[in-house]
Amino acid sequence: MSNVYQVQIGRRGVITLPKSLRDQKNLENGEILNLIELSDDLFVISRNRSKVDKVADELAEEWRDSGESLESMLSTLREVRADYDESQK
Amino acid sequence: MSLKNRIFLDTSTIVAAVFSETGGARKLFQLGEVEVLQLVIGPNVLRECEDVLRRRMPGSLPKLAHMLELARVETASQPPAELIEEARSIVEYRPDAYVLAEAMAAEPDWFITHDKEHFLDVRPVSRLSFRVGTPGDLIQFLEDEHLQK
Repeated sequence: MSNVYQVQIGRRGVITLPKSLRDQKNLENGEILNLIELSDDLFVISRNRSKVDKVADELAEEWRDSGESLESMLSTLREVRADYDESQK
Repeated sequence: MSLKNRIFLDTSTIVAAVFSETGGARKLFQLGEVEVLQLVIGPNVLRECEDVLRRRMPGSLPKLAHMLELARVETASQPPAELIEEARSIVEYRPDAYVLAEAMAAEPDWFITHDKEHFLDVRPVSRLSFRVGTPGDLIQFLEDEHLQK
């Protein structure tokens, strides 16, 4: 059985999941699902509410508030990696 | 390729996942959390994350550990000496070769990194059993595969 379903967007963006899928997965009316946008053309619908995003956002805020940037962290990573290699010689 | 790909993350990808809210690295963590991907790191990658935070943001260690846990990141075992030697014959820069050896030991489908100089510009794919790319490369691959472009 294919795990790919075609759904149509109706008025006001309403999407109806196929009945067979709703029955099989016990998806109830009113249940909230999460739509993850991966690219312009690819989306994933998940039953589990994402918590990783919230934690990552909190970390990013902590780091930025302390004056860190992606570059400063990656620069430290390069130092850490080189130091470890040196310690193994 | 099976539905649940095994994705080995370089340390740079983990740092990028924090900073880039809409970037590819963050998306990989979201997919790990909902069990579309199996994210894997090596013991050395984990140690590097800890060392970077100890130097820059020691108070963030528990939260980063929580983030890895939420994304169901698995820690693979140490690479054997033979794999380290083999990795050194593929990647010239010794410090990165150890991470490559960890990836080889984890037997992933993809090795995801932001390291242009030592991995992405070299892309020693012909000698590896997995692909090497950025988070964006993997998402493009998933899109191509699932949408049959």
